[in-house]
Amino acid sequence: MSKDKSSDVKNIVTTGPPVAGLFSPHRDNLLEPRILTDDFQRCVECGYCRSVCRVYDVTYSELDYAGGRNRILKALANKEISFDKEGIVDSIFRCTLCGNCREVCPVGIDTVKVFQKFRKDAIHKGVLPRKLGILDERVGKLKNPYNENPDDRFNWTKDCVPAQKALKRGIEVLKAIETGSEKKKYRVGYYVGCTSAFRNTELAIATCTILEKLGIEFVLFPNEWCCGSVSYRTGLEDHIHDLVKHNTKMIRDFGVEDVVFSCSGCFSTLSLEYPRLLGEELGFNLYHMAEFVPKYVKEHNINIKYTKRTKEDPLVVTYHDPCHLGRYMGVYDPPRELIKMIEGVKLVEMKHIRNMSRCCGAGGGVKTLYGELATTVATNRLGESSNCVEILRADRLKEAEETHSEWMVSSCVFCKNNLYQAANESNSGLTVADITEILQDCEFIKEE
Amino acid sequence: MDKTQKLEQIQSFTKEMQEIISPSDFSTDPYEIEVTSSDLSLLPKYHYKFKEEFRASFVIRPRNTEELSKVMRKCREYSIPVTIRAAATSCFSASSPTRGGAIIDTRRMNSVHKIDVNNMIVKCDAGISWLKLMEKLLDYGLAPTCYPTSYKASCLGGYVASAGKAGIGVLKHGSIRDSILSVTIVKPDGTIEQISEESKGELKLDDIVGSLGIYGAIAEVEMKITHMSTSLEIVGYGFKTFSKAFEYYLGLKENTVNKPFFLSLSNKKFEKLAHKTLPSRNFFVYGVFLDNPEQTGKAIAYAKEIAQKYDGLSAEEWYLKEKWRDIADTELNLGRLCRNPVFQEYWIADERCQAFYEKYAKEIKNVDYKNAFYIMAGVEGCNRIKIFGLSDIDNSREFFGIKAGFNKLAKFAFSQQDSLYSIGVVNTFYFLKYNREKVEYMKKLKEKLDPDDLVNSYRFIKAKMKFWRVQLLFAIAKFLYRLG
Repeated sequence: MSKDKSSDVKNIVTTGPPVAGLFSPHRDNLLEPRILTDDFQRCVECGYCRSVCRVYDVTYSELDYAGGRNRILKALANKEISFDKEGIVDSIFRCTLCGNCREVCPVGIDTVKVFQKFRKDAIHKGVLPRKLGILDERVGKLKNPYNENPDDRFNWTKDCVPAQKALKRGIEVLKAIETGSEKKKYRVGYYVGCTSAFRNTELAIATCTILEKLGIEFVLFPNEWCCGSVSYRTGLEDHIHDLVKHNTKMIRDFGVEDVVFSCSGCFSTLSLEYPRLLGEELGFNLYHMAEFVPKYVKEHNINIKYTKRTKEDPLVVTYHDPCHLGRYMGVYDPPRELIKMIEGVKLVEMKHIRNMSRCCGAGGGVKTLYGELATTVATNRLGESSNCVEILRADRLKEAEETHSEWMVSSCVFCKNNLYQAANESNSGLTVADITEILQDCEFIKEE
Repeated sequence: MDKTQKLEQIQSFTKEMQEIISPSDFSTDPYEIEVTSSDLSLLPKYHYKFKEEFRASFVIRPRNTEELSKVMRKCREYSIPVTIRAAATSCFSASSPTRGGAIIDTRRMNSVHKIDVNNMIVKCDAGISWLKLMEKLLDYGLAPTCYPTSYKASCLGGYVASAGKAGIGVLKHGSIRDSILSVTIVKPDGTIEQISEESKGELKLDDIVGSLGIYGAIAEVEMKITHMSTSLEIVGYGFKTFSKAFEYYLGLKENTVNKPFFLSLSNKKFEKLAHKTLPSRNFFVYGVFLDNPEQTGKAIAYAKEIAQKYDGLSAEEWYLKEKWRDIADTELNLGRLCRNPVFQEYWIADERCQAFYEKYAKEIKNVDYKNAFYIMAGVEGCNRIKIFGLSDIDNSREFFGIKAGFNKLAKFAFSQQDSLYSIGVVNTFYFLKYNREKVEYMKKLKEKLDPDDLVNSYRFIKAKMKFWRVQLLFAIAKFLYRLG
């Protein structure tokens, strides 16, 4: 049977093996797991997590997937092995926290939660890789992880008129708050995030352009600080309380109802971690642009038309689910709905999508901790780790290329940044972009 | 050897090994050793009584058969015990070290060498995962003839080494042994040999399949494959009594119309311990048919017809589909409700399943832990029966009480000429007790190939824990459980 016959096979209506491959179990009819304080104790070492772990696929080290890490935790808890501050670093931090293991775990262990705690506990015990220490210092002093002057946070607005207007509105509101005078209320605020502000400014510009095109009078938050995501993911949870309090107060003081994000990391951090850390609801709505735009256009009967292509000759794109938007926040359909709403754009799916989407390799602090190292020698663990980031993103890019799409779009600035690097390194014919970069070249036409 | 000499030996071995293998594939990292010295079996270190040394000193990851050969040769040169490991989904410590030494992790050996579509053969590395193999074969519209329900995590080599006789596809196509054409083995002295049906040497295919690697590392496998069928149909019926359920189960198993692709029988507790909504009735028979539409149509018609005879009540279609989708998770889902699910697997002939079930039912009358019963159809007129007890190792009275119960059932099985489904380090004492002839044969072969017993030691032919000691411990455990 030739390779062409495989399409017949893949048309078999079967929900199970061998066609269906590896996927997460249906949770609806499963009993809720009995969660333990030390939930790693429930790990049955089945190895399903290893089958989805992208880092393990590179290193083949038993330390590098959830089940292996759980074994370490068990051994530490039972005092069968000693805690070596230097030796244990890789087993703690060489994980992108993508959450794919959590999806496939048959006993329902929240592996992301377990490993976040592992990192936090390790920090308390004095484990602090040098780069992490530097990151911590930067975030603490400069309120961003990029060693940039905080006063330069909104320099990017110079190239974007809608952004300038939004910033001006924001400054006026801030002044009113500071002086106690009456402030104008705006419904929508755009939380930019550090990566869009200091690195991928094109996303911030695109987001502002889109909001303006939609006719939304939004504000920027001039006193925005880092959301704390990278610090939080790397175990420095205790160091972000001032960021959490500041950002929450800032948004509350502004009085906006809806806060939109272009960065999935910021979005998931404020949505999931801020209420938990504060012990209370935030009191405002949070939306990623990939949710906000389809919701808004549906409510206002707006059609979207991509200006650079036509219905007959659409731009073929494939969508990469960011871990923080997808697995963390459960947002899978809205970005797809949005792409399908755009006349002149066609969506083709990759093999691994939705909750089984493959991580680009940038998350969990892995790129921060390991990504800048030279990769010429891959004989040591750290060398392997930096190789790991490159290999993961190259694999994901390859998967996108196999769809024969023209563009690979995502809705996370970290993913875009990382995959863009991969595309450059391999001279790929694929354009890597954020979903906002398509939308900024669209017309938004209100239906009469 | 004193400490200094030992250290020198380790240093010399490490240096020479790093000339054979990439430094990133050789590790003495204590954390890596800690996790790689474990396998799926519960508390492998608890089983220390079964082992001389439960923790290895090295983890080595060869990338192909040639590297594996060099590694084995070097280990032999230094008299370093080796444990061959892939996915390590053995539940009975078959993949964990017993004499320390080196763990040879074969997961990097995961290439498909050849897919011969005309002759329907695949040749691949033994360390390949079932998922990867299936993916490659599906590109050609092909599939393995059989595979275990642990396919989401396990590797081909393990199924061969444990002679998988129950699982998906075995009723239709035969066991893994039936599909194997040849095995490339790296013997304890490092020599590479391809063993097929025609081989005239001292090792035969039947020796290697199911021997847990005691004669050497399974490096490559050449086996039959099958066309992927296009029609899948599922039946699932609830029954009031075990005897009716089992008769129906046998009716499906033995039918000549179309053998099931997968067949199981579970008690209500098994379904209940995992699911919110489940089929009614006390026993549930589940059958999957995969063939061309005409055949599956006939099979379903037959299955429905005989279900009437035994007063079967059909489960809802969504439940049947979901169960197939999650068939690999079915046995693991029980772990959602407890810290440590404990289980034992028995290999019971069709005609003795009723008696076995009655024995089990009698045993669990006086227990207070959650338990479950699950049969999966196998070849040779036998079935893999899996008994579960949900527990917590911190509750040692209950934990060992459960194991004592399992031990009683094991002895019952052996007394009925049945056995355990899989043997590992922690249950080799049963094999030694009840299979003396086979033990003698295996010992002789082992002595020829591995006189120093360096490769996968303490499986089948030698046990540190004697049968009588284990019985004494279980008797005490049972007493303490009852006292509690």
